Amino acid sequence: MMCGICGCSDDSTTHHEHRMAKTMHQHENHNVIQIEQDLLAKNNQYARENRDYFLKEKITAINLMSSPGSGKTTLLARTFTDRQQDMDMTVIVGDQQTDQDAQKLQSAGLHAVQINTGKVCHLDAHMVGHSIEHVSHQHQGILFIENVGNLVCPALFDLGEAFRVVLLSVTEGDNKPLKYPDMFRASDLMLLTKIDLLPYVEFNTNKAIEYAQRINPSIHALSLSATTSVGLKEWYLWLKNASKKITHVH
Amino acid sequence: MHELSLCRSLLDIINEHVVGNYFKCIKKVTLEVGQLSAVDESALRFGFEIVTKGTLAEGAILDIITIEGQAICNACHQYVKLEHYYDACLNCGQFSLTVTQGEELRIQSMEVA
Repeated sequence: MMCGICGCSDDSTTHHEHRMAKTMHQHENHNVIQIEQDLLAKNNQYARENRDYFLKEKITAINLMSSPGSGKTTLLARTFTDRQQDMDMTVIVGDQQTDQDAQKLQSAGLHAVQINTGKVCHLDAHMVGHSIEHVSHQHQGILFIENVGNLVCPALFDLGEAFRVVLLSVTEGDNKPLKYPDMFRASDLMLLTKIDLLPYVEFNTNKAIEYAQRINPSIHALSLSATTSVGLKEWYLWLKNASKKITHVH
Repeated sequence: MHELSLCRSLLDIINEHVVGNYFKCIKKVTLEVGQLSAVDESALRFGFEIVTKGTLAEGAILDIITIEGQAICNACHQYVKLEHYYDACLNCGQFSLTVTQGEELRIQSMEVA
């Protein structure tokens, strides 16, 4: 006979009860509890709360991700130096250990808050939610969330950001989008960094972009060097437009 | 090793369902894992073993149901199998695909005694 609540029609079911909206089937001396819940449900709930807060304050939250050493901190320090006059910027920076990145950004004059994740290889929405409490009120500004350097794990965790930006330095190899597809699939923009080193490495910019667009047809790509300033103008324009999209939401 | 974080979330969900009930142990946990999700099965099993030590779920069987990747091609509008994100449409060879299945990461059920 079919159960009216869960549709179960297992003949071997000897006993059957529904407790607190939970479905339970007793098969002899063990029960099966149907759960049907996303493993990331809790993170996604925190991410929603962060996102609501950012929207309310018209903060443009940008999740910056890459492997270690691709130039996230250097680019942020440079961006602040160049554009502090017309853009309000704050950084939450995640690393497993040390506050060296926050210090580097602070010495450039940026308001930076460090999160040490300890053994954890990515930021999650809960950590970001707590660190927002330490960020001074910055209505309508840009909040950079510099993720832990790692091209795999951070892709899975929504932090409540409006945009995801992945950095790929030319010293890393142009096939990275194919090797680490999740990161590129989840990003709005890919920044090819350190392009001043192109003469010294085997890196095909067009190939890297083609591979990234294979994984994610809607990903945008920009090439730049924070050392020589090539391409920075386009990056600042992208930031300006990203910020406009958020501040003009009613 | 984000699998370890995922296993901690899994244990949290298990605990939510254990509270208020008098179970002796958890015998089996069934997960649905999409073929395209960024999760490694052996890392997941390893993480599960670690986080469940000393809990009701210690020694439980971790049953992983793999969900095949599937996409609809934006060029030829056919549903096709998709094993990797970098694969082309099996029908027309284009790369513009919208994933319709295979990114799942869900706990389906658990068996308790």
